Amino acid sequence: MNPQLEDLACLYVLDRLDPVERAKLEAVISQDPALAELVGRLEESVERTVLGLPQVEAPAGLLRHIETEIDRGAAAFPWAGAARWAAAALVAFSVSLFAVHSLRKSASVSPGFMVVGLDAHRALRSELPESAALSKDARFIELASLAERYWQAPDLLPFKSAQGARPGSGYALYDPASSQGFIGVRRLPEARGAKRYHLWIVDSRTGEVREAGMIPVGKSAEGLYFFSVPAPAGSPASTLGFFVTEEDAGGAAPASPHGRVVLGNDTL
Amino acid sequence: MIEEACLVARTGAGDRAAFRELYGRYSAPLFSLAVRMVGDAGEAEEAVQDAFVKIWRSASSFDPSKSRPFTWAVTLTRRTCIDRLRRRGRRPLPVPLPPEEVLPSDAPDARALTEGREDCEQVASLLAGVSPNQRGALELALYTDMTQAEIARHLGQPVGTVKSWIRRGLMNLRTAVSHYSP
Repeated sequence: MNPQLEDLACLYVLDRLDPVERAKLEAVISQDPALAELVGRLEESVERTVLGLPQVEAPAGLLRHIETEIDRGAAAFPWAGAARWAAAALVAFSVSLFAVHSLRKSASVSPGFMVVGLDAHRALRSELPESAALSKDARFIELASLAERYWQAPDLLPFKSAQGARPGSGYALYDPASSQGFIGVRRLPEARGAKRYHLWIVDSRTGEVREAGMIPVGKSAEGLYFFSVPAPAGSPASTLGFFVTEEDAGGAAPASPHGRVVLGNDTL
Repeated sequence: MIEEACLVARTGAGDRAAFRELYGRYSAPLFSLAVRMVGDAGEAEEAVQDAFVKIWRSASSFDPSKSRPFTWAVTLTRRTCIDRLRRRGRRPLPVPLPPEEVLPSDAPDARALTEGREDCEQVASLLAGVSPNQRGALELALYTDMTQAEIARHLGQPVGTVKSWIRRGLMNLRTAVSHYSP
């Protein structure tokens, strides 16, 4: 390997490059598997060095102090939650790509998730077959991988999107066991004025709904986002659905939907 | 590592349980790193608190294709320690390298720098191919904010020599690690 690249790789793992140099090298790493392998090994070396320090347990109560600080920050920046949700989608997307490469052999497993098609006027639901029991992390990886596959190839969805008078379509992929899911939306118009899009989970049998989060759709009008929301208590998976409404921005998250439904429906 | 990447992803999505699990895994090594860098348990506690708040806030932008999760956490902690010390007008502590350890050659030496460490044997094996000079330069690069020129002055060596020690030290460590993690 080019000695200059080796030098740069060493400086990279020691965090000695400025942001521009760092970004340039990351671009090279993404195209050069041998360099990526070297950087991974060098990072592991640095990790081993840190783990080789005399280990000292963190003081008792430190976690409590940290969480207090986190909660204080959340109170000071109430919009941070929405931003976190948006950015988390990118993370989950990256993890899913990462997982697809790492767990390719098990990528065809579909461990009992449900997918709901969301058109501008209707919702269609399909349950995916249960497979062998997976760990919590493995389920998340499967969920993220499947969400990404549907996003890349919508034709793989178990239903076809219908073109209605209003634009917008999407799908919600949900794991009732972990209460985690992904929603992918396309061609959703930018929210009007002081309005925001909110995702809801609904038990179509009882009509009980829960807010699953705000969809941070900007002018791009599409995106794949992670969410986490427990299903209404006692709701069987076969009655769960999702829909998206337009709600007033500002203030606390709404406890129930008041605005117009822009994707899906509260019945299946 | 996939498991840890998932924990970071969940943390980024606001999952407090995942964050606590991450804290359980990383708090001891990161606190040990902070103690090493700032030299004071009280200050290290504050630095680690800042670092974990940053981990919480920036987990959503973590990219597993660019970095290993623990490396990312180590980098955040190192930067936090350096920032805190700079704000106080201090510099991270240089590695207390006894004069007799600065040898005139790069002869390999796996001496007892690992005393008192839980994974003594493994670390000793890893360090077997790393000379004291390489190790000293590497630790200065890792645990302080000294530039390579400053490290060279601190060790009384030409910059080119120090650059070579750092690079060869890391590469030797990499070779040793690859034997443990084929």
